[in-house]
Amino acid sequence: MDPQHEAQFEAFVHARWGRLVALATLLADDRGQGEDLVQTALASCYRHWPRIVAGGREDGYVRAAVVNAHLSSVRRRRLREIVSFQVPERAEADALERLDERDGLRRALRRLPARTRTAVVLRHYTQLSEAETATVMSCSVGNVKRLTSMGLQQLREQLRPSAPMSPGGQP
Amino acid sequence: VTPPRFDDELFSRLDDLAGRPSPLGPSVLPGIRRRAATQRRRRGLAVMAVAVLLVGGVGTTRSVLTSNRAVTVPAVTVPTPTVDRSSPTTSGKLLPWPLVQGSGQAGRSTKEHVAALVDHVRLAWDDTSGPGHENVRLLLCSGTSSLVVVAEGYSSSGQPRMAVFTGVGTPDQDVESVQLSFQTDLPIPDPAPEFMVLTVRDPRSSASTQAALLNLPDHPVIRFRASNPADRHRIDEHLLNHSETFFRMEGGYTLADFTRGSVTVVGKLGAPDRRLQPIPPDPVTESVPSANGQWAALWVPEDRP
Repeated sequence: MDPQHEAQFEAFVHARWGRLVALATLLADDRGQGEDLVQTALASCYRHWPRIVAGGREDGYVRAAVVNAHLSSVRRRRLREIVSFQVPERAEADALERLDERDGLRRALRRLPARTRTAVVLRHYTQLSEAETATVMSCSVGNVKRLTSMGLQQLREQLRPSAPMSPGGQP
Repeated sequence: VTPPRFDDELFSRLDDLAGRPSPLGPSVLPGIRRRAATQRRRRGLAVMAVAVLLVGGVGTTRSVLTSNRAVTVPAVTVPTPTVDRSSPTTSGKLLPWPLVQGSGQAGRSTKEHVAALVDHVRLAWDDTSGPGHENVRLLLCSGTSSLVVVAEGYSSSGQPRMAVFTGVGTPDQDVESVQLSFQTDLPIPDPAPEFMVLTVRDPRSSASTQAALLNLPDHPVIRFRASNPADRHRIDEHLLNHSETFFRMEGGYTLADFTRGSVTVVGKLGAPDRRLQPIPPDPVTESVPSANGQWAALWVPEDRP
């Protein structure tokens, strides 16, 4: 790769690393695995970087690569790592309550099928439109609507006992 | 005060769950480049291997001239791949029975429905019997309010096994969102029986038992009700009077005594007169009582009663 594209790639990684890792962490349910997914995705994009940049679609391309890497890893996963304990990151007055909420959401997300979880995270965390999500997931807009609706319904059901979230909002 | 929308609060909670952005470490970019180089090398090797196969072909050794030297390519015989989808890495086989085809709910394709359900079952199976189940397939998924799911697949050690789950949901609930309760995990018999009866404690009532009949497509589930554990299980009269159930049971089904350690088929109920017809005890060859007495399995490899 020529120096100009090298510099562009480095700048892109510096600028987007945090957001991409956050997305992959939510998909994979583990920070370390999330970072690994992002590195895998960026490595595959690195080989075609000049072509990706020429098309002006770096963000979408890399995001799709992260999602594909995640779905591929789910397919060939043999062992599931279960995080049984996590040290609180911040000491706040309501730290325990927040930990409970976080743990509840993590469990609820873990129960969603991989594609359903991916659709929910892309729509409601990355804030992609239905059409953009469909492009990233290589499926139809209708399929995204169905997956998102199903995922939100399951999250509402599972978060209801412990969370004050209103069931009024519809996707 | 308007309560916060679910979607808005979900974003903030997901953001909280994702945590603070991790800084880009000094080893990340070199690591990405190394991975990219590895991927490129692998692709190059794969292309070379394909080229060698194409040049070598199937047959005798031949020489190929490249630039100024001769490279000897050994004869390459590519064996015809023999793919046995039912046992890719194991000695045993899964049951060659019809699989669940899905319910085709509104707005969902049957294929997607079954895929989501298989994911749900595999997760529950991994959670209870240990991770690593593969080639998981559904032999039975019956009902929603009183759900019985029977799955087969390979354990992490490569053994063909089957598992039974029950659950209680609501009629309008997707099956894959019903909390599954693990009942049993048992090896798949070899050779495969003609059909199988699994009795499961009804998740809604400890006084009732459901019998899941596998490989009998016209007889998906029979519910038994026993008020006294010492009593012989009887067909639930309510179900007998249910028109849909009646049609499903058309052709007759077995009556079995599940109250003893070994299971004995005592008769079959014929349609349309529903009279009990005795059958000889010969077909019963083996039974597996459970440790806790909550289920039993029966296989009858001979003629169907």
